[in-house]
Amino acid sequence: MIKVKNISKYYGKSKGAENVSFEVKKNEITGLLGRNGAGKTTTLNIITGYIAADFGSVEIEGYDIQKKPRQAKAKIGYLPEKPPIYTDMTVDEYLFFCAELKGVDTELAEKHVDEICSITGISEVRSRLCGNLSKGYTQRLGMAQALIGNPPILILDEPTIGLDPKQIVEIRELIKNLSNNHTVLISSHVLSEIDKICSKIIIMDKGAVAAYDTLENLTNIYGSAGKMNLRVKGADSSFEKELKKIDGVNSTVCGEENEQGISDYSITYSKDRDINEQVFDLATKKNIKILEMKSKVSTLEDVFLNIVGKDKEKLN
Amino acid sequence: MKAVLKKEIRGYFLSPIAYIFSGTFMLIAGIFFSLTNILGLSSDFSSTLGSLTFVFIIIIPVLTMRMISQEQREKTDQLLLTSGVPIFSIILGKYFAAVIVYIAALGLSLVFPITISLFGTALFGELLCSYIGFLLLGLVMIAIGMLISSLTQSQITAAILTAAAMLLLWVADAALSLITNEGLRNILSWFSFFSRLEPFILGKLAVDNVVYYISFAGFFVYTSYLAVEKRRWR
Repeated sequence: MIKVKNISKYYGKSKGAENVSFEVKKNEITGLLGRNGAGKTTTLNIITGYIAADFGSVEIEGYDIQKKPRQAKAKIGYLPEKPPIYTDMTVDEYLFFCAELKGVDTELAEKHVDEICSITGISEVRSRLCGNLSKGYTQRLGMAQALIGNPPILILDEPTIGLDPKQIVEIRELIKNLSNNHTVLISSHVLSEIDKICSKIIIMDKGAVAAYDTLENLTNIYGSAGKMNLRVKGADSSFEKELKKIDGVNSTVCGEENEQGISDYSITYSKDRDINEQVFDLATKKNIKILEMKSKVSTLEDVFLNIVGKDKEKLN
Repeated sequence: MKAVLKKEIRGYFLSPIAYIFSGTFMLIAGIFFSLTNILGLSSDFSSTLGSLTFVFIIIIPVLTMRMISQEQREKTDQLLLTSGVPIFSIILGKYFAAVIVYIAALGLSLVFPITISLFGTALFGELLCSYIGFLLLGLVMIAIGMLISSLTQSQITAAILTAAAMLLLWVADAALSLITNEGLRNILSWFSFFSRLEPFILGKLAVDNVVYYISFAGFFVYTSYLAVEKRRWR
């Protein structure tokens, strides 16, 4: 559906994007993740044809965005970081303008706009001026304009930026629902957002693609070792030795046993293993009571930090 | 193009721009009409129209300052440029919208020759030529204003630069007589937009002048397109 081949864009001496390549398949939600200034917006602007790449090519359903811009752009609905709304128009006027701009048949436009207003939840503000809308409604309106003309591909640049938690959940749900019959490429620097809705993840750093895979594979490749905190009662010294024998366990540290016979263990294990069951079975076999068992597996944040470095920026 | 054209015309009439533009034009034209035609007891409105050319310095920047600069500043050009509508069609839509507002203002000024015809003899042949000349000059000036608007994101900068360009072109006509080198004067006079209006005011509809104005208007419209296109490659 979207084929990005070796695109590069330079702004003078600084690079906006360099040698970026990836492919987004039909009805997939792919997340484009990166710090501010990593090249996400530049990449999206090139894909949508807003700016041109210095090198490389972008194909949208087989149409080159530079050579066949009309056909390629007709397949895309784009929500830029700042929704491109005309503040002096009402919501209705704006959406009908978008419909005309995107070549929606005049007779069908009314029904089409009705549907999109209903999907995006802006029906009650249709007569209001775009400039008077709240941030949440403005974002929804931006989403509505991207949906006009039923494009099979949606490209969303930071769709939840500046929204309150409730609005974020609503927009996220909307994107999830849209993914049933749309291919979605969504850019964000909010890790939890990408984590929750994307099936594939592209991590960009300094204008280039640093990693591109499913979250599971990225975790396996770039994730940190697993950690388990265990609190047990009635363990003897042999318990720690047995723990070390479990396949995948790298190290164990045992704290001092208190007066009630409770001791804490800190276990690290391979990131591609799940040792919960073995630990439970071992404790049961030795008649040890498990009071607390907490496993911390690698999150997207760990993966991201391992790829782009920990020192650069505090992440959301 | 149609969608952009409609949107732009709507934008002109919903904002004060169309009213400031036509109001200023009518005010200045009215003052000249009163002084020349009423107090001067003259039925020749073509000459009045001919002496109104300086009004371009004031009103054209009002009309053209936001044409492209505002879209770039507000980032609404992202909607237009990613919609699939060819960039040249977008530029044409914007250009013709401004031309329509300009024609509407010119149309309003017809009230003056109509007034003359009620009380005297209006020279409609000359008048028609004058209006055609005024329209053609407007086509070039709007195209220049649009080009300048495409080069900046600031409406104020666009307005000031357009006014400066109009002023320069207006003054250049007068300065031509000061140039002694005939070859240079001939070359520069070829770019003298305002002096080309004179034959129209005198009632002469010369094809070369019509082609001249339309060619320059086309050139500046195309350059505006190139300026927007080039921004994509920056």
